[in-house]
Amino acid sequence: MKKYFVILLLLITTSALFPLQWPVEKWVLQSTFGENRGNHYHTGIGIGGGEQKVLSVADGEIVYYQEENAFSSLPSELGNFIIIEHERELRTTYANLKKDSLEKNSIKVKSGDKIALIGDSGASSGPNLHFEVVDLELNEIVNPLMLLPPAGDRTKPSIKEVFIEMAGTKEEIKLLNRNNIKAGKYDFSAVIYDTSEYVDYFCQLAPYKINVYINGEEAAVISYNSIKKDDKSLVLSSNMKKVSDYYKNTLNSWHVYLGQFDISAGVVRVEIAASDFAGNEAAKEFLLISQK
Amino acid sequence: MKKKRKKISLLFFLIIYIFLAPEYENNSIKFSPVRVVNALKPVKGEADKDSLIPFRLGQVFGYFDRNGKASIVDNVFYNIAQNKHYFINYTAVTENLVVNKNDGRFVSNIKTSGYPFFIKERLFVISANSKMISEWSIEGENIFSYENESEIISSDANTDTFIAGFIDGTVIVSDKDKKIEKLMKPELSRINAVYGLAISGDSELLAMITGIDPQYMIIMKKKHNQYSRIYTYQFSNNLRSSRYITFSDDDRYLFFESENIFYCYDFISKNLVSTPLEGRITAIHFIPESGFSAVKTENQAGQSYFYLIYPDSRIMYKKKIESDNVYMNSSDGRFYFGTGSYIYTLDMLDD
Repeated sequence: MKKYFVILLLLITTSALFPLQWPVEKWVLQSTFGENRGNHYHTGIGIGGGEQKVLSVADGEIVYYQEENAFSSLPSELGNFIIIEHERELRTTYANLKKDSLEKNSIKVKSGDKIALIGDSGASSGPNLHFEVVDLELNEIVNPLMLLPPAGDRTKPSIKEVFIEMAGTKEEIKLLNRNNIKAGKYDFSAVIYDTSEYVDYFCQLAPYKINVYINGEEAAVISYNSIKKDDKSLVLSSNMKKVSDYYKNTLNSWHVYLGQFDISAGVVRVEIAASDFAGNEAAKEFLLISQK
Repeated sequence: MKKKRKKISLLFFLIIYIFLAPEYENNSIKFSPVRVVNALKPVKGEADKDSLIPFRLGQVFGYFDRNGKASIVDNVFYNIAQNKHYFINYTAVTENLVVNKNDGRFVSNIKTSGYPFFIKERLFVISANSKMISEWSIEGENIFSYENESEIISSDANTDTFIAGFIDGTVIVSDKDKKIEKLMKPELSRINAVYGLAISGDSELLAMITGIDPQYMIIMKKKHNQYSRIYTYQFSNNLRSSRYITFSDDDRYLFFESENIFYCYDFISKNLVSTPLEGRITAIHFIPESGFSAVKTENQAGQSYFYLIYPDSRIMYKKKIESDNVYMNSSDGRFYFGTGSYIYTLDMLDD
């Protein structure tokens, strides 16, 4: 009896801690928030796990649905999709749903209600649920992993290469452990991605946080918490960069801009750290020996 | 618009005539198909390139001239953006968009991903997450881009003005200088999504279908560079998907839909008329030469109907049709109606 009480208490605590529940019963994270999609950021997460029921993540109301290539609808790579508004000023989008599976007549939905089946409509290359969350109070698209129960993961992100480029020049230097450079302002960039242990192919994901330390002091933090509107474009809220300014090169590139830092004369220790949402962290350290 | 009494004449293919045997709602009008094009086996010979008409029937698309000669007939990859002069046949996952002329010649390679669509001569692309819309020239030059936190669910354009409506109720307007302004959030209802948008040819009138509890159709008029509401119609129910709404080419009428009702607002008589139809509307085409609206519906039993409707809401013609694939277009006094793999040509002649 006591055991059941503990489980019940745990369930109540868990549901109170996480405002949303997972939109599927069996999840495989195939893409994460903030990834580079060429002309825009990936504004949600991609969930695999085969054809299964798609569930409403909280109580709410369907405010919009669209069926692929429907008359009077604009074309959309989201394919068949549903948008639900919830209490707590949250709006969620469920996309790439299976044809004819949308429960579009269930206007009011409860947390855990089936709203459709996972499909491959729109630009999905296989069964996949594209899931997004918008915070209507902040007017920001938020990383769904911040609101969902932990997915769990044991693989660390990879920091492949780090580059510096002296401001005003176009000479990119790939950093080695020790580097002799001229003192001055440098733009830092790096090839960084996370990987997923849940898929049996090489699947690159965006990390959750990137930190830059210079001589032990935190010089920059880029977190993938939210994306918001700035003038005519969406930007990563933590550094206010639009996708074309944050990701160097084009589609599928993981080469990100870290910021501009002043490297004074002397020995400068630079550390780049990247962590994923589960807290797995990778770090690389470089010595810059700079002269005036 | 001067009220015209039209008759559609000429008997050409008897079998086709029998297939489309009319059910007259008005005995003074004759309705007969005059020419048929098999979209899968087009007439051989060189098409007249100055009179090409775009068509799509299911997964087959192309262009044919007034004599039924095809300039191009091909399969749709995933979907197609098509107007009178150009087409973009694209796959589900796009990395760039190839623009071709209506005779198949390559025009340009637009370096953007997303799904394209034409509004008359203007080309727009919606990004993968439906949050960014951009306009491109046929040559591949980016004219403007606009990104928002919410999904774009409605839009319209004329030569100068472009408008887009979002799920959060925002409407944006871009004028001929391509300067984008957030126009308004209607905020008349409990939920304020913009399910349908239309702009008149001279940009003086803007109409939208917006909101849940209640859902409205509102018409706005431009005054001192601002749009002010001049007409409001409240629907008796809420529909939660994109709605058809458009001005007639001469801006006299505004057509819109709600579930299985076809509406027409006349800006001269200031009357709103409605026509209940059998089933949900799945295609509408306004025929400017005659003032008729051609409408296809589908009911819950999967039965499809084709209607021709007068602007005053009277049904001129109604016919049950068998195919899911329906094509409707009109050009230079002719109405084209496609079903299955056939396109029927109907000539409209004045009495």
